[in-house]
Amino acid sequence: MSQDMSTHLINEVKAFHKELKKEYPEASFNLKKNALSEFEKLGLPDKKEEIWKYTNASSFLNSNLKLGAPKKAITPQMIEGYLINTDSNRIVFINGNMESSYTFLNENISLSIKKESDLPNGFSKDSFGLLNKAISPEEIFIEIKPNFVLEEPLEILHLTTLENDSFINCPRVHIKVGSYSKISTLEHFFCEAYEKTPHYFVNAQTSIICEEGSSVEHVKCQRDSLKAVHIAEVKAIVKKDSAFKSFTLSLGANLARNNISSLLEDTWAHTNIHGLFVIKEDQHCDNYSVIDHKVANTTSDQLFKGVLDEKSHGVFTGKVIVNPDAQQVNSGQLNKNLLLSKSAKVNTRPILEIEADDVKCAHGATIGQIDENQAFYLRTRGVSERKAQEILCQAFVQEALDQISHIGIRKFVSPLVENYFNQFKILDEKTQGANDGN
Amino acid sequence: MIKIKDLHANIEGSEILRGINLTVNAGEVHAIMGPNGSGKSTLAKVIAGHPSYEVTGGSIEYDVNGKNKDIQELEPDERAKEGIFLGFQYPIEIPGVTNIGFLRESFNSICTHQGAQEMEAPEFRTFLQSKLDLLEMESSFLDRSVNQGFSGGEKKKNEILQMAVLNPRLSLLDETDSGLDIDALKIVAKGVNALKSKFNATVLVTHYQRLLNFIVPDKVHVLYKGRIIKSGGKELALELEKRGYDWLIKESTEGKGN
Ligand SMILES: Nc1ncnc2c1ncn2[C@@H]1O[C@H](COP(=O)(O)OP(=O)(O)O)[C@@H](O)[C@H]1O
Ligand SMILES: [Mg+2]
Repeated sequence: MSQDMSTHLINEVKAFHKELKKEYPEASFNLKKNALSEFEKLGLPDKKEEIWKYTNASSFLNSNLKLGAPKKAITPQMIEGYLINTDSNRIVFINGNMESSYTFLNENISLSIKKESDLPNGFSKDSFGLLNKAISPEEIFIEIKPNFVLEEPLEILHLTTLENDSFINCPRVHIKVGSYSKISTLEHFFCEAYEKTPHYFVNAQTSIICEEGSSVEHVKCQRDSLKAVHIAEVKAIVKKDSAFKSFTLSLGANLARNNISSLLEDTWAHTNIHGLFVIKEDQHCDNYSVIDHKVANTTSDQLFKGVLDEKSHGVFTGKVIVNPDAQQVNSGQLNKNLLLSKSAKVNTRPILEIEADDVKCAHGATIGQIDENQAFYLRTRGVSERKAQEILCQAFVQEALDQISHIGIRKFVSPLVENYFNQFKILDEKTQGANDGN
Repeated sequence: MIKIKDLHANIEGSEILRGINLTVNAGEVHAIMGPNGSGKSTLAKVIAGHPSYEVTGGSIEYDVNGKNKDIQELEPDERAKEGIFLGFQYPIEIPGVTNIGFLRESFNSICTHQGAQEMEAPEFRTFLQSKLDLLEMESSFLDRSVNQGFSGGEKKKNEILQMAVLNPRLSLLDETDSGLDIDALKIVAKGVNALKSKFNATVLVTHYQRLLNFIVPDKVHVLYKGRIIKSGGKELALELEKRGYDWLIKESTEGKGN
């Protein structure tokens, strides 16, 4: 299965490369070709690989997936509904292609589009990273100049239309935040034809460099089609005295895999890798995070929460690496899950690779159900059982959403989650579970 | 208002209530006393409809629109909408739900049921102010998570605040006095008394006479091992204060011949 899918993808990319070769400079093209041959060697990962232990990615991909997603003209009003501010700095992708006509950036943010990049600290060279590189026709570089505070968030929109059905999208975004600058960015993936549930494959890569003394918040909100596959990497390099805060929200996609990594490269670097997934039906959401404390006096904090209904499956892996010389490191990790149905499943694992001795590393995980006494308390005050369940789900996600620092982003994202619970079965499942026992 | 007949109830297979008979009329205050573990909280929770308890015999009839209704047909939230209120012995903490959000949700669901107008947030805040004043509570309580980090006394005041907002017909107050200092006790008693009318009834579960100095009961019942072993007027509470429960227990077991 995984073999067939790999072969299919390789053939698609080869055909795509034939066209690309005509328009690309040779050096750039060769980088793509090399990425493909490296991918050919690796193939798609299977569950034997430790980092893919709980997720068979290829089983979620359809064999009709193809390259060359169509361009689609949209009206500005169409995207306005998905923006926090209609006059904000923004970069708009439609079906995986950056559309300059909808993109707007002020003079403190520079945008360049390159056909190639071989950043020394670029993306991971795993299967999906290589595939992304082999396919992505262009790399988007966003640079925020030093000593600049961006109050309103930079919005990166990844809009998918119905025409994107069966296509593979490979956006590649690099963000470099200059020293002593401060920004918050919302990377928002969503499907315009959500109810029609097209199957497509978003394979996205975002790299972030936080220069000395900068403060960077990256919030990802993923609302892809419930039949889509979303595999994405967010990779940050955090330099001296800088802070990188990441929040990964997953609501959509049949398979969502989030690879989030933060490399604390120099002293007093800090990172938060927070997140929340709220899934139902047969959704599968796998979050794999790596926090690498390269040097002494670096700190990290992590809160990941999951709410799972029906037959959904959630995975959380929190890997924390503390290098031998990295003394005085402080790291905290907490993963909490709320199961709303007996058929839902969670796998959670911390992986601690700690080679220094003077460090503080705490971690914990919980898996629970809706608290019967809390529900009863609400009901004795006239709140219906259904409403009580929704309120308790909302209360559970609140703690996670509160981790989003930028108020504008938090206010935009929170209702998307809170109002989502009215689509959840919760009770029906429970009743059925009880009937099964009879 | 409520008529409990030969009520039996189990939790996890063990029988806790073993034939309770109790009638409370509108305008009355009843006190239920008795040693720890005798089933007082169980009785209150069964009346409110806690799903963990199984009623195995007897009936609870409650007056709904002038008709006696077996309340076992009603869900806990439906009972609340019909005016039954349980003040918890151990109020539940709900992190992530604000007190005001919770109060408004419950107020509005009860209003909707009774055909009254719901209230918008600003209007509701004004409405709440008089209730807060009655209980001498800071309005900052409204924006905190329900009971989270509240002291014992604050939790109990919060229960009475909810009662004041919902204006129930039958209030079951389970040890609302325990954990209160004398000032807080007076405030809580003042609150309960202010809400009393000839249309509603109050059942106080308590260990101590001191609450009954402030909220004077019409009847006092002693619960022991799941049965009411003695009922009397307010002087029974005074006697229990002096003599404890042992003499009563002895009397009742002798009377039964076991
Ligand atoms: N979950 C339970 N399983 C078994 N017995 C219980 C459970 N909860 C309470 N009980 C028992 O029920 C009895 C009555 O408890 P309760 O109603 O709380 O008493 P009171 O309020 O009078 O102190 C006690 O003996 C207690 O141990
Ligand atoms: Mg009790």
